[in-house]
Amino acid sequence: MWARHNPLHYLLLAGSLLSSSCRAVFKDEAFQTDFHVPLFGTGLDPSSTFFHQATTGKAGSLLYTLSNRLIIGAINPKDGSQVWRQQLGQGSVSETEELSKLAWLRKSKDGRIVSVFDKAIALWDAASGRAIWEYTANLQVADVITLENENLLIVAFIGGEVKAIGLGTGDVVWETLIGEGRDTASNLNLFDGKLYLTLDTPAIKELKTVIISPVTGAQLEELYAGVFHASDSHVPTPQLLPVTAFKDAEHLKLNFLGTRNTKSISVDNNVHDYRLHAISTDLVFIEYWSKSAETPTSWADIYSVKGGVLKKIVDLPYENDFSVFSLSDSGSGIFVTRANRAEIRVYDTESKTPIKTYELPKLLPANPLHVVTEVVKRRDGAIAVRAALTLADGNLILIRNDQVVWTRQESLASAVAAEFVDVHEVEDTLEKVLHAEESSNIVTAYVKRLTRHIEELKYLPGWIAGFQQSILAILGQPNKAADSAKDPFGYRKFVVMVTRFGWVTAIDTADQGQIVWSIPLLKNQIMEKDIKGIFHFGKGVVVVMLSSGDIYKIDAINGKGLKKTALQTLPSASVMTVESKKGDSRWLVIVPGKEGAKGWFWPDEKESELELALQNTTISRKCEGSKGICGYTAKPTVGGRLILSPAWSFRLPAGQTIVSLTTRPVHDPIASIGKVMGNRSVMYKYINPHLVLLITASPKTNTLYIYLLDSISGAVLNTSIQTEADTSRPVVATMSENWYIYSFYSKSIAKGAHIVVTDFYTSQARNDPGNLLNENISSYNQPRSATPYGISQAFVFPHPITSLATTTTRQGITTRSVLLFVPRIGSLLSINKRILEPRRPVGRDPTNDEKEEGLFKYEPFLGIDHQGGSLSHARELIGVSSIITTPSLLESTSIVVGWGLDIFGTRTSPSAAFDVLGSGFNKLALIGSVVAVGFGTMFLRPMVRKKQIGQRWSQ
Amino acid sequence: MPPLQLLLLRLASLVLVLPFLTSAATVAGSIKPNVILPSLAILPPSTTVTLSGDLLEDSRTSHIFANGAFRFQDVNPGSYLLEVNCRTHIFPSMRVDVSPDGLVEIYQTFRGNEWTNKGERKPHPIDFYPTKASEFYIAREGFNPMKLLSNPMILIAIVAIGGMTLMPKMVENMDPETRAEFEKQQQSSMLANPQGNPLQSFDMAGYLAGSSSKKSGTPSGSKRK
Repeated sequence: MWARHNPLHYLLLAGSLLSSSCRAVFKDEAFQTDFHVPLFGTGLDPSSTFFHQATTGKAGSLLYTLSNRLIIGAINPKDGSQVWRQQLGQGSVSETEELSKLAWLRKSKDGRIVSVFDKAIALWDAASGRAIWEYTANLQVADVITLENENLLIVAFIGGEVKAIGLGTGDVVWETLIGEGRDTASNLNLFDGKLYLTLDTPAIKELKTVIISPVTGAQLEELYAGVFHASDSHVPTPQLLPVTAFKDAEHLKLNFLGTRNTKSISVDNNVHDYRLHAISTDLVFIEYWSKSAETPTSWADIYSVKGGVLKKIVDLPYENDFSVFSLSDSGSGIFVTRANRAEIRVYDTESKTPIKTYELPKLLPANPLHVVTEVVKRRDGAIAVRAALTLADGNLILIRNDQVVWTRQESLASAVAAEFVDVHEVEDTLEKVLHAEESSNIVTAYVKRLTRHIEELKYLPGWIAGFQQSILAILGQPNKAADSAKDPFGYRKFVVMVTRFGWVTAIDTADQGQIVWSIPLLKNQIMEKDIKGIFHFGKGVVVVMLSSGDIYKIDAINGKGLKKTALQTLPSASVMTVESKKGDSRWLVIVPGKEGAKGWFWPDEKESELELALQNTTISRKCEGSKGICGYTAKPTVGGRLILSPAWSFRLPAGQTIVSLTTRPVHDPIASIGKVMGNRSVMYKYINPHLVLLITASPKTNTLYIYLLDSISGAVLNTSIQTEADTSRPVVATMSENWYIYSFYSKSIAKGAHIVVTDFYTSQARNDPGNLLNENISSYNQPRSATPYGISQAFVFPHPITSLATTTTRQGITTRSVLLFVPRIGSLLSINKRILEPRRPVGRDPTNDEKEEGLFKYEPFLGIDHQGGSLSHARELIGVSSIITTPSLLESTSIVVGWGLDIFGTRTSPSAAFDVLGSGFNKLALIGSVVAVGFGTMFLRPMVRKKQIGQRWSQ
Repeated sequence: MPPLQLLLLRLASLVLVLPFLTSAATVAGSIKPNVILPSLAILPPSTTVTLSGDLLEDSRTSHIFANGAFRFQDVNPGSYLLEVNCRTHIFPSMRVDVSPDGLVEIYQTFRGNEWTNKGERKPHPIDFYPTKASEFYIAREGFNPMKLLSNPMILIAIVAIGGMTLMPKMVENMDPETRAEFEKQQQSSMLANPQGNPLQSFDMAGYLAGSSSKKSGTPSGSKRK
C-alpha cells in the first residue's frame, strides 16, 4: 500500500510514464468529496403544482410540481427533500414562454398523477415515481381529464381527435374524431356525467361544444354557442366547472356548457391578466393582477355558477401590491389564501375580511409568483395554513403559518452562466511578500522579515491548537469542517451563477454546494440570450454583462454589488476580456455586431496599458449574422471607445451554419512539448494558444465541417468533413493542448454517437520540432507548410453526449481527462485522454515500442465503464448542460462542476492522486509499525550483541 | 349496456377512425428479471428505452412501466436502434426494422460493427435481460495483515526468523553426539567465512534443503567429513 506513495513514482511521473489506469471514484470518497444539488426548477404554472395524497387512504400529502425545466416530481412538504423526480421530453426542449401551454400535471385517482408534454401522456405512481404507462401520439395534446368511475383517461388532441385510454393498462379503449380536423380543441370538461369538448371552429367563428359519452366515445350532441370573434381566445378553465372561458379585448366571457348562455365580466385585457381557480363545481374564483411590473396590483372575485346564473359573492379588495391567491378545500370548507411578501391571509368564501392573518417575521426575498395551500380548520376553530410559494427569484419556499419551514434553491436550475472564483486569490500571498523583501536592500529586508516574524507570532497559539487537533485527527475521525476551513489543497472555490430570474448566486464547492450569497440584478427576466456572460476579473471580482449593456461588478467573496454601469451597446455585440501585460488590470472589450461600428471597452481607464495589451493581437468573434468568424485589430481611444479595423474574416459557404465554437481553456498549461515514442524519437506537439475550433453544419447534405483556425491570423490550419451526420442533434466539442475532441450522431453504417479525437503535431516526421523552439513565433510568419500534422480517430459511444469538457490542472503535467455528460443515464463520465488516443494501433496488437509508449489496441466501441470513469457514480444527474473545470493547488487534482439544471461538483485525479495521501492511508498503522520496529530493535539488540560476543569468544 | 352492443359500438367507432390510421407499427417489449436483476424494483424509475431512427423526429424515448414493459406506438417504417438507458445495469442493444407494411423484425446488434452486421433474430415483443450490473466504486486497498502474510517474501522472512530462533533450541535437544558434530560443522563454516555477522553467512538454500529432511542432512554432513 505504501508503495503507492513512493518517491519513485514522482520520477516515473517526470518520465511521463503515467499509469494509464483511469481511476474514478473510491468507495470511501463517494458522497464525501462530491456534492449534488438535485433540483426541479421553478414551478411552471399554479395548476401544475399541488398537494396530493401519494397513497390513497394514507394521511399526509406530498407536494407535486412541474417545473419550467420540464421536471415533474414529488417533494416532502415536511423538510423539502426530494421524493422522486422524472424528466419529460428528455431535455430536448429549451425554455420558452409557451411551455405552460404544452406541459401540465394533473391529479388522477388511486395515488397517481398524469403528466402531459406536447405529444406524450404519462401516468405515474405518485409514491414511487415509476411510470405506469406512457403514450406518445402523433399530435399535440390539448387537454386531458380523468374519469374516476369509468377508469379512463380522456385525451383531446389539438385537431379534435379524442382518445380514451384505460388507466390501468394504457390501451386505447375508444377513439373518435370531432369535426374534420379543422377545428382546434381547447378544453375538456366533465359535468353531470357527460364529457364536453370545446372547440374553436375558425371557419364559422363560433364556439363549438360537443358532448361525448364517456363510455363509448359517441358524439351525443353538438352545439354552437354564442358568437366567437376572431379576436377571442381561450382562457384555461378548470375542468370541474360547468363553464368554459374565453376573452376578447375588454371582457372575460363564461359560457355555460351545452347552452348558448354566455356571461361577460368586463376587464381590460391589455392592463390586467387573470387566472381561474375552482375547487368545487359551483364556485369560480378569478384572480387578477397587473401586467406591468411597475404598477403592481392584485384583487380577486368569487362567483357562484350554479344553475346557469353567474353571481358575484365576494370581492377581495384591490391592493397595490403583488399578491397571489390559492383555493383549498380542507373538508371543513373552502378557504382562500392570499399571500404577499409580508403576510399570509386566509379568507372564507363569504366575507372580504380575512379570518386569519399570519404576518411573516421577515419580508420574503422576492415577490411570490404563485402559491398552493392547504388550510386546516381545527375543532377549536383555529386556522392552520401550509403554503408552498414560488417566488420571483425562482425559489420554492414552504411556509407553515408564519414560519418559513424550508427553501429550495430552484433558481439554480435556471442558471444561464457560471464562472469559478478562487477564494484564496484575494489573500495576499506570502510569495508576494517575499518578493518585496528580496527587492529591497539587506538591512530593510532583515528588519521587514523580523517584524513579519514577530507579527506572525500571534498565529502561534492557533497553530498549536490546530496541530493538537491534527494529532487528534490521526486517532479519531478527521474533522471535516476544520479541513475545509483550512483548505490546504485549494479545493474551495465559489461558482458564481446568473439565473434566468435575474439573480446572481454563489455556491461553495467545498461545502456540498451550499449557497454563499445571492443578490438580485434588478432585472425581472433574463433569458439565455439576454446575458453576455459572467467574467472573472481577478481578485475575487466578477463582472456580469447583459445584452442591454448593463454591467454589474460584484465582489464574489461576500456578494456585494460594487458598481453598476450601462453602456449603449447593441444586444448583438460580442464581449470578451483582455488582460494587461503589466499589472493585473482587466478590461471588458465589446465588439458590436454591426461591421464598421466602434467598439467599447470597460472600465474606461488605463488606456495606454490596454493599448499595449491589444498590440500585435487580434480579437475575433462571429461575423454579422453568424456567417463566419471575423478578426479585428483594436485601438482604444478616449471615452471608452475602440477603433476596430478588420484584420481577417472567415466566411462560411452558403448553407452552412455554426453549430459549435470552441477555444482552448484560459488556463491550459502544456508541461511537455513533445511525445516520446517507444524508440526514443520525439513527435513534437503543435502548440498554438490561439486555436479556434469551428464546427459548422449543412443540414441539406447531412454534413459537418470541422475547421481549425488561428484566431490571430485567421489562417485555416486544418479542415475535415463528417458525412452522414445528423445535424439536428447536438454537436459538442472540447479542446486542450494540441488536440480537440467532438461528438456528433452519425447515420452511417456505424450508427450512433461518435467521439472523434484529433491530435496535432508539428510534422509527420519524428524529431522535427518545426519552429516550436524558436523564441519569437508569430501567427503571421508561419509559412504555409507549417500547418500542423493531424492524426484522427473515431470511436462509437453508446449514448449521445450533450456536453464535453476537459480537466485542467495547475501545471498540466497530469494527463487530461475528457468529461462528458450522458443525459440518458444521468451520469457525468470521464474518459482518460490515453484511451482517446488516435495513435492506438488498428487491427493489430501493439508492438513492443508502442506498448512501452502506453498504446494499446484500438477498439471502435467505447463502452460505458462506470467503475473506470463515472464521476457521478450512483448519483442521478439531470440536465447538466455545461461542465466547467478549474485546477486545485494539487497538481493531480482538478475541480469539476456541472451545471444546467442539477448542480454537481467533484474533484478528479486523472492520473491517480500521486501527490496527496488518500483517505485510506492509515497514519495510526504507520506510527504503530514504526514504534513496533523500534521496540523490536531494542529487544533484539542485546540478544544479537550477546550472540556476536559469544561467537567471537568461542572462535 | 350489453357487451355485444358495446362491442358493436366500439367496432363502429373503429370503422370511423380507420381512414385516419396509417400502417405504422407498434414496437413493444419488456425488461425481464434474471440472476443479475432479481427484481424490477431495483431498476431506477428513470430507466428509459430509446428507439433511435435516422431522424431526430423519428426517435422516441419511453420510460419503463411498473411491470417492466415499454411500447412505442405509430412507429414509422425504417431501421432503428433500440437501447435500454440504465445507469445501474447494462443491457444489449437491438436493431429494429419496421417494414412499410408494419412488420417488425428485431435482431441483436453489435456496436462498433457495420449496421448491416445483423445478429440473431429475436421474437417481436422483445424481452430484455441485463447482461451486467454496473459497479461504480473502486474499493481502496487498506492495510490487510492477512494479505501481507500471504506475500511470499514475507513468508520467507518469517520462516527464516523462526528458524533462527528455533535453531538453538533444536540444537539443545539433539543428542550429545550429533550436537558435537553439528557444532563442529558450524564452526568449520564459520572459519571458512569468518568476518560478518551470522545472518549474512546464513545459507538459506542449504538450510531449507537441510531442514526439509533432517535425516538426509546428517549424512550429507558426514560425507563432507
